[in-house]
This record gives sequence, structure tokens and C-alpha cells, in this order.
Amino acid sequence: MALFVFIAILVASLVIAILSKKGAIGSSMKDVMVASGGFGAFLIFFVSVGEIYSIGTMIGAPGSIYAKGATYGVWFICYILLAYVVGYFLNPAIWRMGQLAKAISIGDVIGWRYNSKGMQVLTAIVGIMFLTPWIQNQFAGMAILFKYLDIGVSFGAGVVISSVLAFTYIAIAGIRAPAWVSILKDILLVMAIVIAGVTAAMKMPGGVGGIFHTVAAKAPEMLLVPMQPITAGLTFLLSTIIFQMLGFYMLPISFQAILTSRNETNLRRNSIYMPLYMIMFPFLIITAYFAVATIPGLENKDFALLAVIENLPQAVVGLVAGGGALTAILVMAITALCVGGLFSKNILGVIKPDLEEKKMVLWTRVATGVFLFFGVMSALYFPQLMANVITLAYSGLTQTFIAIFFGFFWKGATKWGVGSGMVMGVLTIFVFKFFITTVPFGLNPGFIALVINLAFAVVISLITKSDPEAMRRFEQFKAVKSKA
Amino acid sequence: MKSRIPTIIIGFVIPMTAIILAFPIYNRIEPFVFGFSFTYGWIFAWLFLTSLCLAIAFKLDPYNKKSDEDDEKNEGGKN
Repeated sequence: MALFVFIAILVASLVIAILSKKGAIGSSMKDVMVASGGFGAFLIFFVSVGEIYSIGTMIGAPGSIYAKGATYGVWFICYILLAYVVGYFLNPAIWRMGQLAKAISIGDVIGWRYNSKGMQVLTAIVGIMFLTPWIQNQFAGMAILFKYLDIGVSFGAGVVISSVLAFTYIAIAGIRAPAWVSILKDILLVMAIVIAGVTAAMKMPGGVGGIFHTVAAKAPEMLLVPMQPITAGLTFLLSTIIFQMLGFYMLPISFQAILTSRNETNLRRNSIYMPLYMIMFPFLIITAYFAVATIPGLENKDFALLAVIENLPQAVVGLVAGGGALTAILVMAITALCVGGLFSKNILGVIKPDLEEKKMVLWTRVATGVFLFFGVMSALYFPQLMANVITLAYSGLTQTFIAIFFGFFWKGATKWGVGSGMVMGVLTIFVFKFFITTVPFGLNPGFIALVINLAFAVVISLITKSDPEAMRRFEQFKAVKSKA
Repeated sequence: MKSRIPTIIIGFVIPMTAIILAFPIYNRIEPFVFGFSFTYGWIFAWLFLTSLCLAIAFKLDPYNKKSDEDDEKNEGGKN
């Protein structure tokens, strides 16, 4: 029965992907990547929540809270919540500059603003490099799902089926397919999380209050962020929240979602609704603390949510498995498409400026496929290659923030400035990853990298000569802004 | 054009203060809120309050008035 529900969900998603092609105007690069900027408020909402709430939300978040307590719970909720606040002000500007640049990716926008092919390529390389852990995370989540919920599909088969499906969505309808499939995915994801939360609250005498009173009595440290000394958790928590809230819309996938919008008012309106969608988080928190209170010593912390639902009827287990797998597949599809676009438009397109659009679309599909294939291989052969990969992805992808921010606010920022800043930021990440593993003041390493990035961007911009064309484009952007 | 400062205060400064600056104050277990420890109760309340802040900011935002008109113009132009 579980298997039947699971298969039904995947088949339904494929049908939606095929139907989503209807109404597509053509298969130009712009259509494949950003649906020709034609999405209204409804699809914008689903494409944005679709890619952000990944299998990491369902499996990783309760797992980390189970293992490490409130620091992780507060971190996950607050950075996303505040990212929507930042997005209310930032996204319309991104969209406007995207229109001027005729952009399909973050590489296009940065490349246009600084009038620099080098910046375009650099942004694309950073994007591809740090989206790799993002896709890795989806496979890792699936591994846990299939390992724990034995629904009759092996992990290997699951991985292959998922990546083939992800590729099929993209090949059928570009970004339109994941946007529409995301409606099904998000309904299932929320259902799965609510089912887990409600099950936990019902199993516990005293419900939600019972869960938190038990934890407060047994392990109060799980409910608090350590404050003394402040480097024990507070500096890490707050620097991480600030860093990731700035990085949220710098993820090339979120950036691309902004560009699918028809206008900027919809983007602002979208920011109002996004926090309400986070209503699933209380259910995740209930589930995680129920596991803390009643299932101590799980061999793998990431089993926390699955351990709560495993004894439910088989159909429900199938629904959670299907919802989880579909979530992973969808995020894979969007991420791989994004990488495909960055590669074909911002790298290949720069090397071969005479590349025909048709060929570029073809290359996007090839790159999407290759990227998924490597994802599958690494998932099958090194399933535990990377821990905490989301943090790694953010640490690199957020480094584009300075180039974007100065792009909007500082006429004198030069490509040498923001470029060297970005390179130094990424190098700092690697230094902290491989050489200096104790970070000063307990701060988030990405946050320190961003400060170094900022310092280089300012100093080098001041000592290098501004490109007149780049300054003209800044004025052009300002002119659109003051008219709006 | 009307000032955008009220929009920025309500839509940006207030949520940031409530979540980041106020953290040392709300980082506590008691009193329990709807069964949750205080930290989580506070944050969950702010899911709704942030949405409310952004809705008010949206109403006040001088940028929206202009761009709505622009949209209508654009739509009109297309048809």
C-alpha cells in the first residue's frame, strides 16, 4: 500500500509536468529558464516555496534540533523569516535590474551592471560550485528516507528514478514544470509535516504542553541558546541568521524565481504571504521535541521525524515517503536547471559569443543532465560525503550579495572591486573549511568571509577606475527606479 | 513622492528588532506559550506579526501606488 501511494504521487507529478507545457510560448532560453517572465502571483508563490522548502526542511531540520537543540531551531526559522523581510525591499530591485539586463540568471544581472564578461563567468562559477552541495543534500535526504521507511524501493533505485524524473520535468517544460509540480509537492510536504506534528502531540500525554514541559524538566539545555560566554552559541546564532537572511535571495535558484515574475508589485505582495506559509515550522518543532522527550538515543539523528510516523498506517507512510521524494526531486530539478543555465549562458555563451539560441537551450539540457548524473554518482558512491552541506552552500552563494547590493546603491563600485571581493570571500570559506577550523568569536565563517569580501570590494573599487558604461547602467537603473 | 521611511520602519526595523535585537530577552523557557517554551512561542507569534508588518508596509509603500499604475498602463498597452 505504501508503495502504491508512493508510485501514484510520482506518476501524478509527471502528468502535471506534461500539462505544464501547455500555454508555453516557445522554447527560447528565456522561456526555459524564467518562463519569459510571465508568472503571476500564484505561480511565483509556488516556485519560491517550491525550491526553498527542500527535503532538508523535513528531515534535516528536526534531525539537527534533535541533536543540538534550540540554537538550530531558532536559526532555521529566523533566517528564513527575516529573509522575507529583506526580500520585500530587495526583490523588486533585483527584478527591475533583471528587466534592464534581460536576465535569466544572477550571472546576467551582475555581468550587465558591471559591464563585465569576467564577472558573469565568475558569478556562474561560484554559483555552480556551491549549488553542488545543495543538490547533494537532496540525495542525502532521500538516502535517509529510503533507509528508514522500507516501502519496497531500494535507495539505489530511488536515486535513479528520482534523477530521471527531475531531468524529464526540465526537458519537458523548463522552469514551468517544477513550478506547477511544486503545487503538489508543497501540499504533500505540508501534509507530511503536519501529520508528524499532530501524531507527536496526540501520542504525548498533555499534548504540546506535555512535550515541552517534559523536555524542560529532563533536558532544559535543549530549549535554550547558551548565553555565557557569548561565543558558546549566541554569536554563531545571530551571525548565521544575518548572513543567511542576506544570502537567501542570492541563491541562484531564488534569484531565478524572482525573474519569473510578471511585475514587481507581485514580488512585494508575495513577501507578505511567505511568513504565513512557515506555519509548518511549529509542527516540525513539535515533532523534533517529541523525539527529544520520548525517543532518546536514535542511531542517526536524522531519523527523528521518520521515527515519529513509522507506525502510522501504510498509506500514510507512503504519503510521507512520496512527499519527501517528490520534494527532493523538485529541488533537484530546479537546481540542475539553474546550473544548466549558468553554464550555457554565462560560461559557454561568453566563451562562444556566436552560440545560437537553439544550441544554448540544448546545452542547458545537456549541462542539467550531466549535473544530475554527477549528483547520482556521488550519492551512490559517497552518500556521506558532506555533512552540513546547506551551510556550505550558503557560505559561498551569499558572497554575491556585495556585488548585487553595491550594484543597486553605489555608482562607483567597479568590477575589480566586487570581483576581488567575491574571490576573497570564497577563498576565506575554503580557509575556514580546511585550515582554520576554529572561527574567531564563534562567528559563522561565511559571515567573516562576507566582511572580508566587503572590505576588498570597497577598497579596490576606490583605487580602480570606474567603467563609464557601468556607471551609465547604474544611472539607467536609478532612472527606472525613480519613475516607478 | 511620499516618504518611504514609515514603510521601512514597519516592514524592516520592527521585525529585525523583534527577532535579532530582542533575542537575549526572549531566549527563555518560561512562561510557556500555547504549550511551547517561550523562545518558540515568541518566534511563532512573529510568523504572523511579520506578515502583518509587511502587509501594513505594503499599504503604506509609495512605490506600490506608482508601479500599480505602471502595470495598468503596461497591460493597456499590450491590449
